[in-house]
Parts: sequence; C-alpha cells; structure tokens
Amino acid sequence: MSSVASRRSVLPGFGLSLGFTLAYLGLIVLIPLSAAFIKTSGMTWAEFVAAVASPRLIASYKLSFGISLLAAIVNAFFGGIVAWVLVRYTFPGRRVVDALVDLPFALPTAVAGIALCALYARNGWVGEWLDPIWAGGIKWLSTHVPWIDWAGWLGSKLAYDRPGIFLALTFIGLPFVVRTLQPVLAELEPELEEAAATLGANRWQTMTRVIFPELLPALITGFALAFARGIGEYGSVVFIAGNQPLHSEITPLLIITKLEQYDYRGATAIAVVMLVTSFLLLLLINLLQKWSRRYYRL
Amino acid sequence: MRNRVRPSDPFPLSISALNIRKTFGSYTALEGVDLNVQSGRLVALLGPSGSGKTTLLRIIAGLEYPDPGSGRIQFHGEDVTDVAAGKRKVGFVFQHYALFRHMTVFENIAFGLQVRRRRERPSKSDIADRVNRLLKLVQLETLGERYPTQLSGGQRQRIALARALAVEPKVLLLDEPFGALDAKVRKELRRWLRKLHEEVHLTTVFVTHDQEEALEIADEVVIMNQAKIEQVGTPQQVYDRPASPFVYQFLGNVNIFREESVALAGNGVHARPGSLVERGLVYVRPHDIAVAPHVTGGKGIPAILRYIHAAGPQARLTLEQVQTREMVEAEISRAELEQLHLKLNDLVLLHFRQVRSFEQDYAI
Amino acid sequence: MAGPATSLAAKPARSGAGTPRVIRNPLWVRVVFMTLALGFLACFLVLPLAAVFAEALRKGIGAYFHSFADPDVHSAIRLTLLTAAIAVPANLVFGVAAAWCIAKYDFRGKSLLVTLIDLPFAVSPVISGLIYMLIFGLQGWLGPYLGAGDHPWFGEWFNQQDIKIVFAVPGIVLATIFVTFPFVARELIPLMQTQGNDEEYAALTLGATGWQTFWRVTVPNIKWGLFYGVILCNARAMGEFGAVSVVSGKIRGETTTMPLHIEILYNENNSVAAFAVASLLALLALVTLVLKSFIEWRHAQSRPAV
Repeated sequence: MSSVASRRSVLPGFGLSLGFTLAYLGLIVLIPLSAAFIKTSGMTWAEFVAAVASPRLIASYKLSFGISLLAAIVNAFFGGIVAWVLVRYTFPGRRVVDALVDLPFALPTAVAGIALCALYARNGWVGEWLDPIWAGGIKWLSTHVPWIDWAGWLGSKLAYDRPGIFLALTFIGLPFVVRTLQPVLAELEPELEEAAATLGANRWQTMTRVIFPELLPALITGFALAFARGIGEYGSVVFIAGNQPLHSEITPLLIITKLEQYDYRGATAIAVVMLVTSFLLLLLINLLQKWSRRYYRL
Repeated sequence: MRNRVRPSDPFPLSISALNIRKTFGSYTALEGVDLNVQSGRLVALLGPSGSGKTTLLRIIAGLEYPDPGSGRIQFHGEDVTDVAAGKRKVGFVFQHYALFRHMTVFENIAFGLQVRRRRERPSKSDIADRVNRLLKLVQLETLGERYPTQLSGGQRQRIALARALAVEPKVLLLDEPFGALDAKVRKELRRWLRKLHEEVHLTTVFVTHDQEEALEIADEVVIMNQAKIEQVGTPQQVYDRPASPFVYQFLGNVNIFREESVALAGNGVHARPGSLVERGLVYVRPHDIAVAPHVTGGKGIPAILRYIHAAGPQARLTLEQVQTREMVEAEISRAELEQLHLKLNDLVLLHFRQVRSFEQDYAI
Repeated sequence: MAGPATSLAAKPARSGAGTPRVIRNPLWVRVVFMTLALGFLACFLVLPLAAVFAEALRKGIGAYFHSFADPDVHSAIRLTLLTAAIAVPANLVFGVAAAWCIAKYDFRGKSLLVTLIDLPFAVSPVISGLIYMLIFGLQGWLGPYLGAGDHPWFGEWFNQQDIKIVFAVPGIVLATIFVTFPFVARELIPLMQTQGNDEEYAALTLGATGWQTFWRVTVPNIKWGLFYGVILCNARAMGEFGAVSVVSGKIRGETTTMPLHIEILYNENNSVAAFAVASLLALLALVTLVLKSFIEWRHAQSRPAV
C-alpha cells in the first residue's frame, strides 16, 4: 500500500502507462507552469504589487471580470433556454442546431473575432442599424437610470469598443452552459413533472419549484465555466475590443504588451494573478459538481 | 460421444485454495479461506452478496491476487498462484458475459485460439471447425455471424460459455452464470449446464446467491458468509444437516421459536441428541410443522390461522401464536388442508416433526 | 475545467424529445422559448459564420482564389498542418496512456491526476505561450544555452548548434501541444471507466497477452471516443491563436500559422485575403462539427439495445 498502486492488478501495463503519463504531464504542463511561479518568487512583494496593481491593470481586471460576468449571465439565461428547447422540443433541423451549438469550440478564435467585427462594425450587417440603437439606448439609460455609472459606455460603439468584448465573450461561452445543462435535462425524468402535476402544481410551479432546482447546480457549473473561459479569452476579443488603455484593454492583452516590451517579470506577475484566479475557479467548479451530485450517491 | 469437447488432459484437475486472504482497503473479502474441489465435480459457491464468493472465484481464475503472503492456489497439487490468468487453463464465464461487442459470435469464440503464438495456433480451418463444434454444443449453430447485442440474454450466456470452452480449459469457472436472466430461462439453462457438465466433464465451480439453483445442480455446495466458508457438503448434507444457523436460514424458510415453546409442542419432535440442551432458539422449517384442530388441554402450540396462501401444490399458512403473538409459517399439502376444513381465525395446535438448535447463536 | 464541456460519454443515450407527454408547457410558452433560443443562436452563431464566407467573397470569386496565390499563405497552411500533425498524435498517445492507467486501475492520487490533466483548459492561452517563453526564451531558463556559443557544460557539437525553440516552429508546436493536451484523455477516461475491465479480463483468461488485449479488445471498444477526441484536438490545434501568438514571433512566411496570418492580413486591411484564409478554418470547423455529430450518432447506435 505504500507505493502508488494500492493493489496489484492482473491487467498489465500499469507502470508503463502511469510512468509515461506522469513524465509527459510533467514535461509539457507542470514544469512550464511552475516556471511562472518560480519566476515570480524572485520578486519582492513590493515589486510584485507594483507589477500587478498599476492603474492600467486594475482597470483591465475590472473590465475582464465585469464583462465576463455579464456575458456568463446572458449565456446562463439564453443557454438555459437553448438547452431546454434542444432536449424537450422536436422541430425540423434540431440535429443541425444541436451540432451548431459547438461552433464556438470548433471555430478558431481569430476567425470568430474578425467575423464579429465584420458584423457589428458601423458599416457591418448588424452594426449598421444596431449601433445607432445602442448609442440611443445608452443615452436613455444614462438619464433614466442615473444610479448606475454609464460613463464608460456613453458614446461607445458596438465593435472596436467595450460592447465588442461582451459580444465575443458571449459567443465563446455559449456552449459551456448548453452542454453542461443538456445531459442533466435529458436525464430528468418526465415522471417528476407528472408527479408534480398529479399533486396539483400548475406548470409555472412545476417549472420553478421542481425543474429549476434540479437544474440549478448544472446551470451554475455552466455559468462558472463560461465565466472562467471569458477571463482568459484572448483571440476573439483583441480584434473587436479596440484595446484603448484604461478603457477596453483586457488582462491577457496586457501580458502580451509587457512581453513585447521584454518585461518578462511584469508579464509573469500578471500571469500568476490570473493563474491563481482560475485555479480558485477550478476548485469552486469541482466543489459545485460534487454538490450537484450529492443526491445521486446511493 | 458426439460433440464432445475433450480436455487434452485425460483427467479433469482438482482445485485447492489454501488459506486465502483478500482485503480491499479496510474491507475484508476473504478471511483465511480453504477450499478443495475434487476433479470432475460441479461445485456451487453459495452465499449472500458480499460474502466473498466472487472474489474467491476470481482468485482461482487468477483475475485477483490473494493478499501477499496469505495463501496458495493449486491445480491438481501444482502451485499456480503466480501463474498468469491466461496460462492457468481456466475457462471463465463472467456475470455479464463480457462478450467482445465489436466481434461476431464466431470471432468471440475463436478469439482465444487466434491470440495464440503462431506455432501453437491451430490452422484457420481447424479454428473454424472447433468454433462450429462449440456452436453446435451450445445449440446456437446458426448465430455465428451475429453480434452479441443481437442476442438474447440466454444466448449470450451460452456464447460466453462456448468462448470459455474454446481454449480447452482444465477448469471451468462461472460467476453468477444465470444472475442476469429471467426466471424461466434460468431454470432451462441450469439444467442444460448440468447436462453440459456431464458431457464435457470439467471440474466446474460456479458462484450463485440462489440456493435453489445450487441445491438443484451442484454435486457439492460451498456456503459462504462474511468472508468465510460456513459449510461444505452435498446438497442433501447441507440441507438436512446445516452446520450453523446461517446455513439453515439461508437454505430455506425457517421459523424461530424460543426453547420454552418447544416443550409445549413436544410430541413427535425428533431433535438430534444433545442439540436441545443449550438455552436459546430452535429452528423449524415450515414443512416440519404439523397443524391439528384445537383440542382443549391438548398438546401443541396454540395459534390462530391468519392467512392461507394456496396457490401451488403446497398450501402456506400464516399463523399467530396465542402466547407470544409471533407469526409462524407452516406448509401443508393441499389434501391435508381440505381435510382440516380450516377457516381464517380458527384456533389450531402446532406440532413439530423436526427441529434444530445450535450450540452457539447468532443474532440474525 | 474551462475546456469544452462537450464529451461523448456525457451524451445522453436518448433525449426526452419526441416522447409524447400530456404534461407540457402551453403553446405560447413553447413558441416564446423556441423564438428566443433560435433567435439567439442565429445572431451569435449563424450570422458570424455566414459573415466569414460573405466577406471572403465580397470582391468576387476571382479575388477569393487570388488570395491563395500568396506564398506566405501557403507557408502558413503548411505550418498549421505540420503543427497539428505533431501535436495531435503526441496527445493521442498520451491520452490513451493516461486513460488506461486512470480507468483500469485504482491508485492513490488518481483524482489529483485527473484534475492536473484538465489544467491546460483552465489556463488562458496567452499564459500557455508565456510559460514556454520563460523556459526557452532568451531570458528564460534554457534559452541562454540553446543558441550557438561557448557553454562550458556542453560538448562542442552542441555549442555550434543554433537551436531555436521560441520564435520558431518547435515553440509553436509545444504551445499547441499544451493547449490541446487534455482533449483525447478527457474523452477516453469516462468512456473506458463506463466500459469496465471485464472484456479485458475475458481476453486475458483466454490467453491473450497484454498488447493483444489492448489492440484487439480495448482499441476497438474505444475507437469512436478516440476519433472524437482526435477531431476536437485537431480543430483546436489548427485554430489556436493566443498561445501560438506569444511564442511565434510572427515572422511572415516562417512562423505564422493560419490564425496568425489572418491577423496580419486583417491588420494590413487586406480584408478579403484575411477572410479567405478564415474561410478555410471555418470550413474545418464545419467539417469537425459534422464528423462530431456523425460519431455521436454512431455511438448512440452502438449502445447495446438491452
């Protein structure tokens, strides 16, 4: 019991496969990742703080977090509806729509980035008529909903500005919510709804009090996955963000900027902040998944 | 004899397991188990789930190792503890058959021959020959080109058996061979397995949790409970002379009485000498209970008839003892039932034809 | 974690759709749901895809094909294919080895290992590139030893070699291997776990060796899962932008992959050419989706009907 294998198995190949797995994992993932932490450990605390807490970076954290959150919320809402429609309704072309949901996984992020630009730029298919509506809408909001600070959004364009980041992150995050919800929804027995109905619940009560609580853990997991992906996303965003300092620069872009100035330490320090954030999210998601399975342990 | 698959060794092998221990973490599956299976026997490993019977079978097959330093497995006196599963010459039939899903029935059966090293591998036509003979043996000649998913449970079972026999094993091991089948197919298949055993004459061990199955077809029954062997014997021996309360209860329905009650029902009791001396509980099978009309002052345990279940050749009566209010089950023939003219809630007297008690009692 | 939630094993065997049920939402709710869902997907998925092809063909089919005459485009395509041709098989071998030891055996630290395998999905692509810069870059750990020079610990032959990792093809390949690392493994692990070990045990009792068991029993059983993992891995390998962008140095015609070349063309305002190259990658994405659906369909078919 002292070694890795807790009991001897008759199947051959344990040592070979585990050895190869660990070596490959170590060389490709663990050693390079640890390089980031080791590089940062050479910095003093003051240096580290200076590198990761400059005004330009703080602005980028707020932006990356805020817009990832916003995009994840929108995805949780629409993704939930998409999953419901795909699992529960039959309609012609359902298989095609179902396959298409994975497009953001399959389409290279750079392609998505320039495609969204082409659509939402002021001379683009959608931007042409949506951009004025957007500008008007924000103006209306700034006068009628004064308790929110709209300054960062006033006069913004859809593409090459903050809204573009939201569009790109919504595109990127959609499949996470749908694909996390779909299996849970498919496993959900229709008998549950029938039982609720025989007990006198109406459709609204059944949806909110029986189905929604069952789906909630998966919904939160999908939301968290989309959020985490949004924070790290680079390719699709840089094309459409406009990348104005202090206004529409995302955190990953600042890593690149530092690298281009040969400031490896500064870049690595930001990377460490991001890595720690995503590891904490990873932990949270794992806990969520354990929590969501708590009823199924028989 | 036709269709006979003859093991290359003229005599089937005997199997010995000596002092086998097996633990999974903190869980003990086998606790120093000894087992001897004589050559050519059909032996059932019988026990409730979790009793360790499947683990023992897998250790015999070489699919699990016993705990280091614990025990040895011998085939005909030859130590095979360190011999790999594939070299032990065992045929193993898995509970869920483990048929290769991507191969046809024919390819499944041929697999064990095709993976042999070239100089030991039979020629293509020999393999085809042997597979076809085996298909005939399991009475599925026409299904060679089907895939496992296209077969019924009973057919899969027989294919799994044919596949195991194809490598000419010296020992045949079956894990819950009828566990996944429905009641009717089970009965057919177990008779067929008995017949097959007589034809191929291999030392065969099968695991089951169904006492009826074990008692019906095995030459010898090994009853296991909580990682230990409780008793080994012929079906008649274990049924008539159970070695422990566990065996007695496991092998059939049983009523438990306090010893005091038995004094009341004393007439006609054939207790084994010395077995009634200890205070404690007395075990009586339903068919060892006689029911008589109530006579004031008569001997016997007074009880009230609460329910009659009369489907089948025997009638099962549920009775409530007047003194203890405990329920008793009795089994009498339909003819007897009619003779007694019993109605529900009649008062009757119970007599025991045969009772059993054990020196040591378990709380079960 | 932050990787595709898509998985063959997670695909439900049958969906609830189509089973006629008395209890369901009223018609207006269904209409609203359908409209919202399909409208959202149309805006966010269909339109961008259509835009790629429309922009590529904006100046006609001639301009479209003319975009591919550029030798830099050829070299970008070649580099993308080469990168995928190294990264995908490497991760395939790893995925099979990892799935074998994780699904077939019990050992301590197994769940930690599974988490570590998923790690690259949790890392921003930019960081995936950065960490290789830290090791192989000029300021990195190994960087100073790689160029030609007089390093006391190494032999003369080594010192004469000018080994380039970052701002060269090896760095691009390494970064791509990193970002596509988990695809095959995470596809195979759940699949092999649900299949259990019985068929392998059966093969062993029938006298098969370990390799025979692997090739004749395990591989046929996991082939669809393998294929599934490989096409997802390949799509990401060919399309990766962030990680590759950090390590490539973007030397035109030498270290630009297709996504990087799209960026260059787009920044040069050569929109048609940028979208022409993008249309190839969009086609690849569509082929990937079609193959993926096909495998899911095959997988559902091959489930035992009992």
